[in-house]
Amino acid sequence: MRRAIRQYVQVAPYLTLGVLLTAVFVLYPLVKGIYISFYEYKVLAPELSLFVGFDNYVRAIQDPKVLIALRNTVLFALVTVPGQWLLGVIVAMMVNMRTIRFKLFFRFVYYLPVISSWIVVSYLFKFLFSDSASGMVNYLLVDLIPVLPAPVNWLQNTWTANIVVWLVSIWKGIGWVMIMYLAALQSVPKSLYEAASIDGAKGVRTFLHITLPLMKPMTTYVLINLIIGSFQAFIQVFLITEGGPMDSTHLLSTYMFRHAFQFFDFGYASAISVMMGLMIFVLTYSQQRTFGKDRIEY
Amino acid sequence: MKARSPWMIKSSAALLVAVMLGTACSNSPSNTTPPPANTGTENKTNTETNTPPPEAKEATIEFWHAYGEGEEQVLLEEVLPKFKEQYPHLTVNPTRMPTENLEQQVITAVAGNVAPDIMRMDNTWIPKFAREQALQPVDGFPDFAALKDASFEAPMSTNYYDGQYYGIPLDTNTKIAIYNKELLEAAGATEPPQTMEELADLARALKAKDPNMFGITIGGVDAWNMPPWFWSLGGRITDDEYTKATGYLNSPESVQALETIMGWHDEGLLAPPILAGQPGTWEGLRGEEGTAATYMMINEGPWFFSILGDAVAETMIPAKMPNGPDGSSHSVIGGQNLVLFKGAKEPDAAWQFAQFMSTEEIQVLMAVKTGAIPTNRAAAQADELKEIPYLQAYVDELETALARTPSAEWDKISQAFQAAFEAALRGQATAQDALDAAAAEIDGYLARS
Repeated sequence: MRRAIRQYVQVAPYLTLGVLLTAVFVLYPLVKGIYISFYEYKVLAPELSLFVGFDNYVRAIQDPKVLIALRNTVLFALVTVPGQWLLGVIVAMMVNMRTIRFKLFFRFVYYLPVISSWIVVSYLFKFLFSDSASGMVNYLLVDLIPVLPAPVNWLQNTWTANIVVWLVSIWKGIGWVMIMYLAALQSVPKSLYEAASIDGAKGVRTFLHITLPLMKPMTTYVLINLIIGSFQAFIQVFLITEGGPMDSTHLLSTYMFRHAFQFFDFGYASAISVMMGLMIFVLTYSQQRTFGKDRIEY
Repeated sequence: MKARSPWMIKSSAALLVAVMLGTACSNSPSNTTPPPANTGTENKTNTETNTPPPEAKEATIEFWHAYGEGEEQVLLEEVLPKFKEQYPHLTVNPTRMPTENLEQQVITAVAGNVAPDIMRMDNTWIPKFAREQALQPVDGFPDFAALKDASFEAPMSTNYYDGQYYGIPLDTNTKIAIYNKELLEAAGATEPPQTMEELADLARALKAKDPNMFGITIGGVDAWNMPPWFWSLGGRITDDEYTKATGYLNSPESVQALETIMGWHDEGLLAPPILAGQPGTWEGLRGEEGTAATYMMINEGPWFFSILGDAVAETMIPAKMPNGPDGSSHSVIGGQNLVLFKGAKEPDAAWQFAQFMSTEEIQVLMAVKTGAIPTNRAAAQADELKEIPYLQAYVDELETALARTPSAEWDKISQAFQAAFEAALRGQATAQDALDAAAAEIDGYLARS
């Protein structure tokens, strides 16, 4: 008992620092956010805030634009998570192939979007997909390789605008998935592949039956991160479509931001963000419980 | 952003909430005294009478503005030196702010107690920031009444919120019709059209000649670009007292006005910017590098001429907006005000600067150099202004121009307005349905504020 206490005293300074930082930057804002969501909150004069109970939540549930934003958020996850994962795995396998030379170069090229600023790539895509014939993509698809009969107003239609947002998000995320898998691939013993090739397995079959099962812990980790990342998406929509046309491409995050920082409706925005937080919690809770428990022994 | 350790995953839900509350947790200590309406004025008046402002106390005034490049040059090279001459003990430290996300920056600055003393801000922002307790009323400062009397009424009224004035007008503007001389001739006219029907006929004639040319350019469906057309065609957003939209925004006249615009759109008379298409209004009117001009006219403010200067003096014609059914045109009033923040460290010095900026001399100077229309009555009559060829059309247009709904909920009102017009023009709702829905929504906002 005494020894346990002494040990606690010894590690206390390190624990305190962590607890303190979490309390200040995570717990306090979390509690305050929930608190604000029950008020018609005045950010500059909090003492004038009005307690409204669950009004903000009721309003959010009845707001048709919240539903549209929710739809977009879910769709964003459904499209970009598999998109990034699949392309990232393919690129990782290709870069890892023995016949490929200049591996470093390819790794660098695919990883470049990951370390580029979101702001820069968002503006870049906005520029590429600009309307009429003056947009690069329109020029490419109408004049150079005539796939489309007429220029598309990419950012002026709900679905084409969403496609642009999805494209930039997938493009920017592939490199991260690739690096994670490249790292994991180094840990797979070569002997397994040798044994498989002696048995006559090749290419896709070795991938499906050896590589993929052995990558399972990494796959779980990557997918959880991609899902959380997709719910946190913000800048690409904020900069490329600004939620338009007609608020039809808002994500929950951008819709919440508009209410907080354009309308100064912090109570309502907090209610939306609390609901969003709950949703992510529910979605990832079950995965987290099993996460990291399955170890593969060679 | 992707590399995360497991403990961070657990707290990510919390982080989400945390991110948006970044500002909320740093309440400014200066706002701890609740400022109920009206008492602010009385306190102010008392202190003024007891202790006259110390004339020679040195002070540095933090001044935020979002002047354009040319305007900033005039401010730095001419206006501020003059101020220093008159008030040697006062120094103005100007900061040019980016216009993107400016509101967010202001609210964050006020919450963090690092707001400037004085700021030039869009006149539609005043009610909102006043409601958020960010501004201090100015009607208790010395000589406010005199300044108010010297100013035009409409721009002055944009500072009024809940019984008090929270700023003073600095400049005003409106938007007129600007024609490309060449295309106007191509459409078969030498003079700008007088009525909306004449304009539409010219647009049809131009279209017949070249289907890639557009006779009418409305810069967008938003509540800054659309009102000059909607109002001139007979539409209204609210009653004159700004208390109700139902019966006004969805009146038969308003529906008719929107249907006229939809008709133009269906005929292909409206240039692409109506639905955010390219090229932009200025590029279309002037022609971009290597491409010819395709827009016959746009609706734009005086900055078009002050920025482009000689480049457009010969090729473009400034004119009043074409008249609508009531025999007149109704453009939109824009402009900027000077406001003092509640946490201002040098409010008295800042007020002196505000007074200085509204004097006839400075107002004339800014008008001549930048095309900013004076809010000072005497300055607007100055002879110097008559020598600026384009300014007269703007001053004429101001006579019948209308203000945007002064309301702390203006942002939401303008969103509702825009959504209705966008839905109608994209063919997703009839004019009547779109305006009915918007009117009901706006009624709610007007009742709240």
